[in-house]
Amino acid sequence: MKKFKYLIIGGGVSGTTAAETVRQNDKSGSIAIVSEEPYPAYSRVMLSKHDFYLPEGENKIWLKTPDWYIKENIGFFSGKKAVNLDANKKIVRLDGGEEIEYDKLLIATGNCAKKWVIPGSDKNNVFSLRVLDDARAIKEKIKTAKKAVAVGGGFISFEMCDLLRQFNIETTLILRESYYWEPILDKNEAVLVENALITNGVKILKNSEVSEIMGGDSVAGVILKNGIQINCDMIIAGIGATCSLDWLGNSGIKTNKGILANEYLETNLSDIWTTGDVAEFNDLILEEIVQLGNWLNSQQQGRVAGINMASNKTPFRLVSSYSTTGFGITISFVGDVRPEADRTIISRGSLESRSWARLLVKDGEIIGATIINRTPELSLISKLISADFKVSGHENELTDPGFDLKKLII
Amino acid sequence: MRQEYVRTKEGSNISKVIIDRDLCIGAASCIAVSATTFKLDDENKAVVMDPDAASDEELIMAAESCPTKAIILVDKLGKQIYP
Repeated sequence: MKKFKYLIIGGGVSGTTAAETVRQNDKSGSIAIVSEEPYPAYSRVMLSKHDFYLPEGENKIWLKTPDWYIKENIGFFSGKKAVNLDANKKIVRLDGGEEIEYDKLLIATGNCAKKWVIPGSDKNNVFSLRVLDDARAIKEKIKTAKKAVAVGGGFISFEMCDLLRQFNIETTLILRESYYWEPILDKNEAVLVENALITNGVKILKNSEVSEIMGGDSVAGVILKNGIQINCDMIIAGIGATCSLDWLGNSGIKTNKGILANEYLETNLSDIWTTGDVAEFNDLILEEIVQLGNWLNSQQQGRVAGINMASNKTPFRLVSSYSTTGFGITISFVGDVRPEADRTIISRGSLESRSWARLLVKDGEIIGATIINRTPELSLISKLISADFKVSGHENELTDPGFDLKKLII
Repeated sequence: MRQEYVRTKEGSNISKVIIDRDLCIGAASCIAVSATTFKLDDENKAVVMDPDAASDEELIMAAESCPTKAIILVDKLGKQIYP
């Protein structure tokens, strides 16, 4: 049986960064990465960006070359999936039946696109976007597609609508909600996003749900629950992501929606850490157990877990953010943007100025923000969150869109 | 287009921070790691506000966090140290 001092399940940015950090701290310890995809590490963020869809676009996505794993002496089990964990014997079994023993284990398996189960959803040219093969298939289809349907609100849907329109594909966006990205954005912010979509030729149908996909082997259109039919030759479904935790069923590891971890990214089982999209961890800044699906969180957690596995015990502390641009507007999310009942909102901005920021406040402190077309404020708001800034007495300044937030930072 | 920023921080091994604006997608990772150094401009591209604000370690961390490797670091001898 093969044995590694450090075994990392997941070859995305989190697992790869962890392996790299372990190697920096332990020059001789054996390391291996198990990755479900048969590719070296690449930038998943790029899969929804316009550049990837240009003829030579794929060259821009690679974070590591196959040589890197050899040079760093990191074993790379690519195209393999972990199917069982025996935490007592410290053994992980892969889908080919191979067993690998470990001293220290990191689980950074990320998440996968929710499966869309409606009549016809298995037809050709019904896409989701999570992995490189999905993006390659979309890239091939948009060369010939004339009409597309996009399903769901969110970052990826916004970016894909932008992409489809840049390729002159007639695009209809189907939203189950009453406005874009409800309830993460508020109605005013959604108006800014929807106006950008509509101005650029995207047709939006709200309060709508696809009940059936028409066509033979390939999609020819959709039927909505209200009976409306829309012809199309491709569908991009952005209906959310989920973590696959079935393989951990008998291991004794504690899970909720993700794998539970403390602020050191340690699970309840000794010598097992978890990072990235799959980790539901104790966030020291937000003072909550959260699961954050963004690039920076994954990358930085990989770094901290790598340090913890190979060297000093270090807590994870970061205000993460994600930002995207499309149709001439920029949307940024910082920190915790979930609209839970215990949060109050401070809004700054106006529809006339086409800019809006919403600060989410809990227990008197800013914990997150949604920011539209006010990107210069992103770093300032991050600082206010990380400094545990108390909003009391500053409400008027914070609601004044002309007020310079820099004045609040000491 | 590459925008260069000269760094003169005492004791630092990094002499230049370069942002490749064609690669930058405005994901804002660098800002979350080093908000004293970087900000996004009106085109949603990263720019350096203060090249001397952060430690070498923080600058390297910020560069490593970029999903498109748009931040390039050069040492005092003119050698590229990241990526």
